[in-house]
Amino acid sequence: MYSTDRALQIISIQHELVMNIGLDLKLETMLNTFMQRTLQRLSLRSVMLMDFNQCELTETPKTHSDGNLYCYPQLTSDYKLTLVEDAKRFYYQEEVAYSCISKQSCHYYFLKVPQFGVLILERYATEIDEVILAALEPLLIKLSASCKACQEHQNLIKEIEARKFAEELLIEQSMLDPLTNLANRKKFNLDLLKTLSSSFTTKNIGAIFLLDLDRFKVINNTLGHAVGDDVIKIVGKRLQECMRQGDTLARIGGDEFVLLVVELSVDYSIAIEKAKKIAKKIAALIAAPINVDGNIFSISVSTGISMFPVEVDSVLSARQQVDVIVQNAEKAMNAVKQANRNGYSFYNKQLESSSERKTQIEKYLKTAIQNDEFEVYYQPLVAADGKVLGAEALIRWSNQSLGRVGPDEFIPIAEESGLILDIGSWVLEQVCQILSSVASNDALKYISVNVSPRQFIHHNFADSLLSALNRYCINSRQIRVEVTEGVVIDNIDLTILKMKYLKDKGVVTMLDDFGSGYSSLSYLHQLPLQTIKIDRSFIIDIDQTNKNHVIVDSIIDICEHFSLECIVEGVENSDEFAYLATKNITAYQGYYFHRPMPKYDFITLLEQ
Amino acid sequence: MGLLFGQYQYSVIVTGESLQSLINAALSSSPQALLIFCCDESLKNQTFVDPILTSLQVPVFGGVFPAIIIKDEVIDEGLLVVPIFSDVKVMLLTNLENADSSDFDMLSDSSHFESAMILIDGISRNIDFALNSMFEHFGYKLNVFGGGAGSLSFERKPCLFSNQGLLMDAMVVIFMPTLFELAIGHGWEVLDGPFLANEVDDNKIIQLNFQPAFEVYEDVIDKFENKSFTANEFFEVAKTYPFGIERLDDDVLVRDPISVEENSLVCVGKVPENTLLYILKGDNKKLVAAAVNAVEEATQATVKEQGLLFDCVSRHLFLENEFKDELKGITSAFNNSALLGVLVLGEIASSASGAIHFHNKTAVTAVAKHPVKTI
Repeated sequence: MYSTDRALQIISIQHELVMNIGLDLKLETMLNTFMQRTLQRLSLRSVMLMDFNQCELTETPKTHSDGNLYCYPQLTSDYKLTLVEDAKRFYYQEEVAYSCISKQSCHYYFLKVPQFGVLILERYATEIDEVILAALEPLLIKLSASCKACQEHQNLIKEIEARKFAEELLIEQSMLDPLTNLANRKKFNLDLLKTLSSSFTTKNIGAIFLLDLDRFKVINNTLGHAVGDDVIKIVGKRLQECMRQGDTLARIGGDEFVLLVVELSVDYSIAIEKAKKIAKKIAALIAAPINVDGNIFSISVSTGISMFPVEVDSVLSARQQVDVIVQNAEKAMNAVKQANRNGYSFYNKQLESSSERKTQIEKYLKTAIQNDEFEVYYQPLVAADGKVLGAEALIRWSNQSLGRVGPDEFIPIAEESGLILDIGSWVLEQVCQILSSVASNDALKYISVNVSPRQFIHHNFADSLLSALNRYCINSRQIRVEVTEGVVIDNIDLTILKMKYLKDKGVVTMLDDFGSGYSSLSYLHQLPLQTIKIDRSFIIDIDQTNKNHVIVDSIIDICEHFSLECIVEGVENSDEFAYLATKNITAYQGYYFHRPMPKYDFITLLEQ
Repeated sequence: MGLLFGQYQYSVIVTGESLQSLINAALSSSPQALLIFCCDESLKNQTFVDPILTSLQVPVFGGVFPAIIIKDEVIDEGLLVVPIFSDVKVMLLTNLENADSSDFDMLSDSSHFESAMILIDGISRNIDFALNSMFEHFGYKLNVFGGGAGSLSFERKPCLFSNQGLLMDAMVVIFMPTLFELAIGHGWEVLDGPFLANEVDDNKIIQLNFQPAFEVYEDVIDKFENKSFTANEFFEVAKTYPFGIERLDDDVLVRDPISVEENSLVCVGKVPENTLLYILKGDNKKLVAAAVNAVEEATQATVKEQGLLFDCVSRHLFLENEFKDELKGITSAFNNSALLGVLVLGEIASSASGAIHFHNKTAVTAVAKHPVKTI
């Protein structure tokens, strides 16, 4: 070959190989193209590239692209592993650009890829001219830069993918209820939104079933949250049996689930019938006994059903519709709760009007104190001989717009809205005033005040009570606190602490409406009580029917056993009293003796 | 010592009956596979082929070619069925145009074979890619030879025989335990060069030495040979002056220029960008000598028994009557017997270093060194 041809050959080799570097961002693909071209241009048997940039020198690559060894072709020299070792030694030899070893008619050339690794060229029979080897040196610098750029690119991609994966995982987790692995409220809302968007076009009617387990708190408070959690998990699994493809079951609160059922029918009446069947199925599934660690539970559920799309007067966005549908289901579910629980109810317009009244009540309650609309009535508690021992303070409300509103109606609203705190303080103030004014009356031992759950758990309740007593110079024995079983159930530990605190300060706590709901006996022994009031529902017609005899007698026995005072309320006639008079009862309360009366009537009564 | 192939069956008539009859005759010697070569001109109607091939219980492979070679005869009509006595494994790769590297993974469990014959649709676009992928998977240890099937009219149509019937845009790989010595010879000599192919688009040379490729090519032919392209059909002149791709310390790889497109030269087979090209010149006697010498060298140390020849169809067109001399020379190296072959659209062969190349205007003879299976 002439010298000019030789120069052209070298230029050609350099150009041809350089032009095949960096043609892809994926390192393996980029190297494959380069090595393939190099192999053909230099009549090689194989090409290998050992990457020492990201590889620990102690690692020994096993396959063509494992570890950091890249080979073309994949099945390369029998001496691959030995060559890798040789390459490692060569890489750390300073000022040596290339070297060669020969084994069995093959020549292996080691060329340094600066700050990256070693390129190994395998040639059969004929050696490569040194001039050609020297000509390869400049392109190895570009190869190094390209390899590193590919690795940086790949690292960046890995990082982005890892971040994306983490984000997706977070999003997924943020959509799940960790206890049951069911959807959570957020996911439910999104699914409902999606369903609504499609139901606008398909005209298919769907429904949501808002489920609240009845009296679930009892399980948590009596057997602990671990057992409660197990029950929730079992209920969640059972509810999944009601799901079809496309439905969503979510846990949206402690013992609240919601089931989104899509595409019931395009016919409203058929959709309603199907929804009823589902509600019954839900009730049956949950009603089956639940066994957790040998404890058998029978649970019922209150279900509010809201059909969609909803018919509303104004135009609502899908998101607004979601809110309306859920609110409707809540209203329906509350209606079931307020009835006897353990049932289902569809949302309807009547519920809306009761809701409107509720809104009105809440509105007027806010100004009731400043407008002097409340009045405290007193219903005496008497001994068997009719002598007044004490009284229960009972609030009455009369509003100019609403007229007289019963406490059964406005107290739950006040409780829910938080207004109960102000109202409770006001009542306490009134009671302190009257106690202060009748202080000279020895007959009146105490007046009891009803304290709502929200009021009782308020951190300042006990101290503000004691402070009021102080302010009016009233003996703490003269006032008693009446709490319902609901107060106890909501937070038994805190309740015990507060009761003990009050007891230490001389304030007696009475348990009102005993026996009306929860599994009273399970916590009774833990409470620092002095008095129990038997619920009026057990007293009605007790003289005529013996169905409640056992219960009443049992409660009286329990009181004896725990050395508690026993008070019966709701005694309405002489016959009822005649039956109860023979029992070991501390005090009686009821229309038979006295109706609740205004303050001055009560003072008059005391003076008599 | 056993034979690679047994008594072949030939029929000048190509019909369903004749195909079935030849197959039956070939099967009578209980071969392990069948090789079928058919002349393109004789297979105008292909409909009878699939039912026969798909019902065969032995592996079948082969192709449709411009002509078949039996000993020193080029036969451009008829059908040849050859019983193969080697434990072959036939793999198919269809839809070659859309194939990617992972499609070749299925071939990987064949790495224990010594050799592989590749028959490929000669006008598929992905031939280079397919051959590179084969090499990437098997390396230099697998000795590869074969050629491109199809019609000289370059019409796209099914041209490969398989147990799935006639296939197009496909590659049939026949793995064999038989050892072969490859004789690769072309005899083309450098007329001028080297030239730097500084701009190339796959098989189209756009610039040589930074000048329009055709102008450079035209000047060289005019200067050395005093031949003008204006007075002649391009291919009539160009068939004598192919390009040679320089390979370090190796014979040049021939590329056949077949047409001109806006001062660019279109070749059969890919030309790498920035490679060095030579313009070659053919001398009939040297071409024949090169092919024959290569076979003689390959057969010197071996038992001269059987060979498979894949000779370029354009070489036949160029050598015309002297092509017979090439075949005679090659056949004589096989003791005047047992040479079968085809004229192909591009030849395939592993180089001495191991890389698999797609050749033009070259004769590739696979000399069976040790037929391993004896019947």
